[in-house]
Amino acid sequence: MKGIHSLKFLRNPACHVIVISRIPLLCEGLRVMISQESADASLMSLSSLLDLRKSQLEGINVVVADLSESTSNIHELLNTITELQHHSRHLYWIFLLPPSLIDIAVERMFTLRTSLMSICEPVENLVEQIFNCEERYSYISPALLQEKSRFQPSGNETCETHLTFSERSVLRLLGKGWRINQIATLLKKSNKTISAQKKSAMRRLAVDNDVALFAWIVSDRGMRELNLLSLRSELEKPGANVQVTDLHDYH
Amino acid sequence: MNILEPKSNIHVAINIPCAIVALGVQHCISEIAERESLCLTVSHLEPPPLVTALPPGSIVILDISDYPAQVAEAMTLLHARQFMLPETSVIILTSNKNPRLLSYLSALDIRAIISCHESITIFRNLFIRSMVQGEETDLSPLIKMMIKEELPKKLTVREIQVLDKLFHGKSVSVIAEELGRDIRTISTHKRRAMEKLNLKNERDLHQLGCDLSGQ
Repeated sequence: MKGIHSLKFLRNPACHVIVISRIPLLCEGLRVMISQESADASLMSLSSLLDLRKSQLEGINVVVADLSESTSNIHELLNTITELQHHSRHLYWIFLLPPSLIDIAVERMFTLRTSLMSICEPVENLVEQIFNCEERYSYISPALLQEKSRFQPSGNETCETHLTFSERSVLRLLGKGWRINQIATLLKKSNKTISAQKKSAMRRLAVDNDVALFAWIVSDRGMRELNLLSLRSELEKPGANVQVTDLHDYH
Repeated sequence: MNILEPKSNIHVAINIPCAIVALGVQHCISEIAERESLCLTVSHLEPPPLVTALPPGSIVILDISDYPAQVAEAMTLLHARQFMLPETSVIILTSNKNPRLLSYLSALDIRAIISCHESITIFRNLFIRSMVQGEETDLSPLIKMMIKEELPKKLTVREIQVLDKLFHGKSVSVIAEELGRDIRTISTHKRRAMEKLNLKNERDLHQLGCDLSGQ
């Protein structure tokens, strides 16, 4: 590894970097990485983009922003970024993105002097982008595009589900934690009828076991179909994470 | 910290998808090794099914993020730990904020659960503590805040095995057949596990299953 390092050409060895991440270990890792590459480079770390002051950008060449935890307040961040980009046009921006933000990033942040990279980017690619940023004006990492192609809605997402009224009401009650026998008593039907309705609902949803059925019920789509969304807000305690339905490229 | 015996060699295996965080962890560990004059070797652990055997007494640092596919992969590794990584201690580094998942993790035999938003000092201290043998799971301050309820009791190996099969959609009778045990034995394992995890009904169990498999 050392041998490769010494051979590498760094266009801008004395580059000044700001890293913005809520993960201290990521800042530490980047600091180690930069000091390994060049002794003249400097690094400053911040925990949030909103804390970045325009005066701090004096003499800075590159800003590395980790947006992996910013799904909730992305619009606020986008405005801040646009403003900062207008203010200091000499800056080179590197955004580390989670798969869920790729589309919005390509649309809103992919301007001149910007690279969009994956959070799982190999270290060498990042080194290349930080130190040789003058060469390329804008860059999207292949790893990110690979993640994006994996991030596709599954097939049953697009087609309509055809559940009968009684199947729906049984699933709704199941989703609220009722048992088959309890549902039977409530709806004044035989437990065999309820069981059959659950079975036929499972057939229509093309799921073959209970886990998959419950997975469908608690998924965004199931919640919408069964009109259970109001229930979810009671279930989820504050601070619980938003369900992310995308796939994550994982090495 | 002088409670640490200067052991000959401790192996640390890291499984963190983000290369930069992995580098940060690696650097942090080598600093600890220098300060405490310990011999720590660091390697990268491949995800299953590529897991290679580790020397006994190794420490595994496992990252659990927000992404369903990665959570499922990490859970596969944790559930099959007895076979894939025997005699190791596991430290979890996580950005996940799901209290159900976190409290389930604390019921497994894990040395420490650390939030990745924790400062480096906290990470360092918890890492040093986790090298000393102990029964309890150490939780970093942020994780403690996220798990509001009482911590569940530790699950046994059998209970974990049964739960894992249940989460993969198998019924109690199928599991009984696979493990060559009576259906009542398996049912007891399931009931005990649900009691320990404070799950009241099937729905709670399925909800946990969904959280773990990322569906």
